[in-house]
Amino acid sequence: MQPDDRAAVAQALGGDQAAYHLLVERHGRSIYRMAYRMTGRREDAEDIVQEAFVRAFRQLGRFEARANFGTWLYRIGFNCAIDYVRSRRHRETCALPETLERLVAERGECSTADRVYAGQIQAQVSQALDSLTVQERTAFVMRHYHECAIEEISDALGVKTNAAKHAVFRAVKKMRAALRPLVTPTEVGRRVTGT
Amino acid sequence: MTNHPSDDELIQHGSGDLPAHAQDEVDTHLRLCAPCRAISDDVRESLALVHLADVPDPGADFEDRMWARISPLVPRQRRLWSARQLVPVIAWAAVVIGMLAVSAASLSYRDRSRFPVNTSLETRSGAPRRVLLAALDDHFAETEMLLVELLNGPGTGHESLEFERATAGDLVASGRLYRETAEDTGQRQFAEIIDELEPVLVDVARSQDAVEQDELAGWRERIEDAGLLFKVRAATNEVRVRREPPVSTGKGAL
Repeated sequence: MQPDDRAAVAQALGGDQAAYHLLVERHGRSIYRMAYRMTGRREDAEDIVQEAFVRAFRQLGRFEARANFGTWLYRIGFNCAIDYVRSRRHRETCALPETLERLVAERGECSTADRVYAGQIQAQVSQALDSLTVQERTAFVMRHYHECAIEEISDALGVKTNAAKHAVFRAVKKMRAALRPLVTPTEVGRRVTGT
Repeated sequence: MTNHPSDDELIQHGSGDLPAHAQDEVDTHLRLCAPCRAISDDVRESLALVHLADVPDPGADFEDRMWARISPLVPRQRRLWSARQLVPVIAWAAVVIGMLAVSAASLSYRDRSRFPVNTSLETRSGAPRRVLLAALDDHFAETEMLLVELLNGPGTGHESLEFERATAGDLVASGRLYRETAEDTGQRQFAEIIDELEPVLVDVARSQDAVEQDELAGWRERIEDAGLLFKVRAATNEVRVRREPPVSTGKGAL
């Protein structure tokens, strides 16, 4: 029988490599998913998973047995992802407006049947997320996947609260435009071209 | 609210980012105005779609791949460093690496000293940028090695860190040159990382012959708290991405 997380942590602290391996197997994917959403790149997400587990191992002595290892690790992984995004923030390549326009135009005539395919939704959401700038993407993921407060986002991005709020806003606006073909048609055209 | 809220306000409302009073006003308006409600629903549905999408599967061998990357950096290193019989081997390796590092640093220094001052010319030719990226690749790789040594080396007090001290000194000197060039060539993010590294490197370079355990622990804490090792790795990745030749370069540089 495999040890639970707490027992595995205790064994890993005692130098049992197999116990730490078990923790990587149990929690690696959850960190990967979070990291992928934050960065949008598989290689970056894997770098973050690696860093999170290495950092967690170094801090293992500080882990309190009463706490939930998964939650504790997730927080470390989240900080790694934020560090990563910060270190990349100057590389930020602003999404060209035509990227989104093209994306919408290409998908403009989806049939109802097509829309039900989860694969399509996934592809579209991925593409839409990819079209965001690094700052917008981080802000969006933090706000809408992790329900972070605007203040936390501004801390993470190293920008003022207002700028963080605008980054979320711009991201939602772009996501909405990109995902519009998948959303049930309504009267949304009413004021899209001008209020 | 007598006027319709703008699309922007409806988006902010959907994200809960309007001030409380404005949020209430829009709520009231939405109860009475079907067209605005339709836009609001559209925003909400778009956001709901985002939650339906999962990230691409990393593959069945994900755990194995990750463990292959993680395992050399965790328990094995601890055991390695606690094995005193390996110290002579490590010392020899350090000497060899040190010699290589000094050669690389002096070559990089010579290359750096030939950089033209004119920023516009630099930007046009791209050559100094490439030289800088090549030098930074080595610089960050060496920095990473030093940080790993500091983080994982023995911590039982009165350590002789002669090699680390010398390496840190070299890195501070070369880092200052690279920082200046990075700023000149518009690559500020590298300059910022070098800036962040410098205080720790300076302290290591200026340390006494025998480093006390507390001092070593203090460096480790600073490295870990600031995520320096991770930042250096990210910078190395970034440098390597930028060094890759562009897919299409037109008819070539000037």
